[in-house]
Amino acid sequence: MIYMNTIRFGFFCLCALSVLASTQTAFASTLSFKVTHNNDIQYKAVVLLNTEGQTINTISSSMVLPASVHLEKISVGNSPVSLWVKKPTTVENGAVYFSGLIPGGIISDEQELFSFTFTIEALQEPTLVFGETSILRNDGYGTPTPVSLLEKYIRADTIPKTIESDLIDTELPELFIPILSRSELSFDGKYFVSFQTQDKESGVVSYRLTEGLFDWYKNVESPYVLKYQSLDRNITIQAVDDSGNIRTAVLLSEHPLVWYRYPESIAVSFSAILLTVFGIVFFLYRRTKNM
Amino acid sequence: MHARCCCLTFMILLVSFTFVNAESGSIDFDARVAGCGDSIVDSGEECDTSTLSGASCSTRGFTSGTLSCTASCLFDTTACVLTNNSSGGGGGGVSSKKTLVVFTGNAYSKSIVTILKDAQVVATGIAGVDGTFQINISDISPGSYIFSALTKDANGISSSLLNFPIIVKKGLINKIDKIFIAPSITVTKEEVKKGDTVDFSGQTMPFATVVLTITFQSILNRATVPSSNNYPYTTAFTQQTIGPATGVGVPSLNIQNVYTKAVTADSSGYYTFTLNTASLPRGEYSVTGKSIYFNQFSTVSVQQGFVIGTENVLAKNNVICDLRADINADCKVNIIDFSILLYWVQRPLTEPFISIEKVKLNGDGVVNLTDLSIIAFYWTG
Repeated sequence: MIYMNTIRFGFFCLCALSVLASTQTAFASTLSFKVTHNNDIQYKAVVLLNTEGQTINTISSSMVLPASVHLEKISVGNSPVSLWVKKPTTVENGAVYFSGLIPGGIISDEQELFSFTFTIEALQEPTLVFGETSILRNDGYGTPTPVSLLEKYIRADTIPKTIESDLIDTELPELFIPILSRSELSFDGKYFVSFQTQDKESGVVSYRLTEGLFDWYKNVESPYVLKYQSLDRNITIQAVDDSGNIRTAVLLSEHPLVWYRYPESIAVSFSAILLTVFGIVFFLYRRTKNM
Repeated sequence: MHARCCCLTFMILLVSFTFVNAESGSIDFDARVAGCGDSIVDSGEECDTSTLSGASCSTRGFTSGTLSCTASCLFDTTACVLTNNSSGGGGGGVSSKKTLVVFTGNAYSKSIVTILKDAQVVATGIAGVDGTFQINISDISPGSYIFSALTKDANGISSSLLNFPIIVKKGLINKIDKIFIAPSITVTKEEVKKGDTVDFSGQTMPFATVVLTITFQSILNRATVPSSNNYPYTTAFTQQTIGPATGVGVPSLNIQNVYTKAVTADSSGYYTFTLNTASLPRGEYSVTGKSIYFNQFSTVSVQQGFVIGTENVLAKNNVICDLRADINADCKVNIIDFSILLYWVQRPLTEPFISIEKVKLNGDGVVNLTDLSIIAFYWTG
């Protein structure tokens, strides 16, 4: 009798615990992978977010890739994250780290955060897992939500095959307006320019910037501290998507230098004059010598 | 002789170019300071009345339109236009068939409604006297977007940001209708002496009903109110007041520590409610508002806080620029504030920034993901 009661009590406890556990997970935001087979050798994985009815605005996580998985390309084109703190781009110490914001928040039961393609070494059956993850509620306090992380075991014969047509991305990245600013609170009080845009198909992969006429385009990230703090040069920023489409935005200087006032153009002019002068001197010297 | 002549010419040219270079000008793009309204752009002002210091819509990154100056001496770009004709290259740039996104809904009477696309301001429009508005966005690529809408009331108080995740389809008119922007809300006192009154007011759609929800948050944490020293109450709040919330001036809280009150806005959408705190326990409270108009419901307003304590402390007058998370105090929470925060991530904070972090963010002395979440919540674009 006592034995039966103990079993009943144990069963009751198990039920209670399972109810508690299910209640807990019902409010947990979930990260998961959806993996498909692109072709015989390439896989595509989509990182999905389920907010379980809560509005969230910040996410920080990483996905750990086993050594047998070779990352080929990451696409953030369909991501709701508009402000990346750490954009998922490359593998660092066997993991891809990502974090970013969704201003105003999002509530969704299956939201793509980003996708990536990869290959797997022959005869390997790896498991994709998430690393340490924080997901914060859109409540004005940054309250963390409970998180549920679902790993994905990949066995080739269980992964569905999809036929994806190779759409050519001919759309430019979205229009954007760089903002010039300065604050005593950061960047040692120097002027900096902030910019951000998206490309809905292949995703923005880089930004390039020039300051003035004689500058070369260089790869930059937002925010960028201006090299020329006198603000006398136009600033040109290009957003480049994964297909090479380029969206250009220009911040015009309010008092631009005319071309001949650039120190670079002065240097060029000076060199030209110097060469001419030496040329004349050399010519006259040769002529005098021949006479 | 010839060599001397050449050297002289060279020196003259060098000196003249040096002077030419010394003439190059500089621009001041700094943030605001006192002296606004005197038509002189002082240090810290972007503009002053009609004086724009050579700035225009194009120098602010727009394609065309008219740049003006706000009463706070900040550039007003609401009449600037951004069209899809900036230069492009690389892999092509074939324009798509015309795609349109149409936003319709209810805001505040004659308020400026701002539409954000993926956190960036993309269009503005003015609501009618009845609060209704329609804003169209064209030349948009198909894809998955998060659009947002917000507005400001006549006192410059922002509504909460309302998000619409949608997939824009090519060649279609994509409609987002029945947008109902949450009411603005202000509280007259930061702290109200128990037994005195405190006013809640704001703006919504004309004649809408605003349901105010006043929630007891916690027994006062003395560390959060620096001006007082001793609060002689320790009784558990939930044991003191139980019962449905009804009546004006004699509020009571239900078992969830929540008091609700419905007020009707006037023909301009203004509403106000005076709360008598005599029957409410001391502690920290929050208040939010939600508008109802026939069978339409708005989202919840920005949350405001107040304290029922031992003295009356008026709320700051400069509410327009008292926006939480507005790090650089330009009355906006946007990519500039985000950039400043990024600078401080994983850096030890300086004394000036510690004081700002305390007021504008969560006050834990570091900049981390929580602060970024606060920025995202208060985002205005």
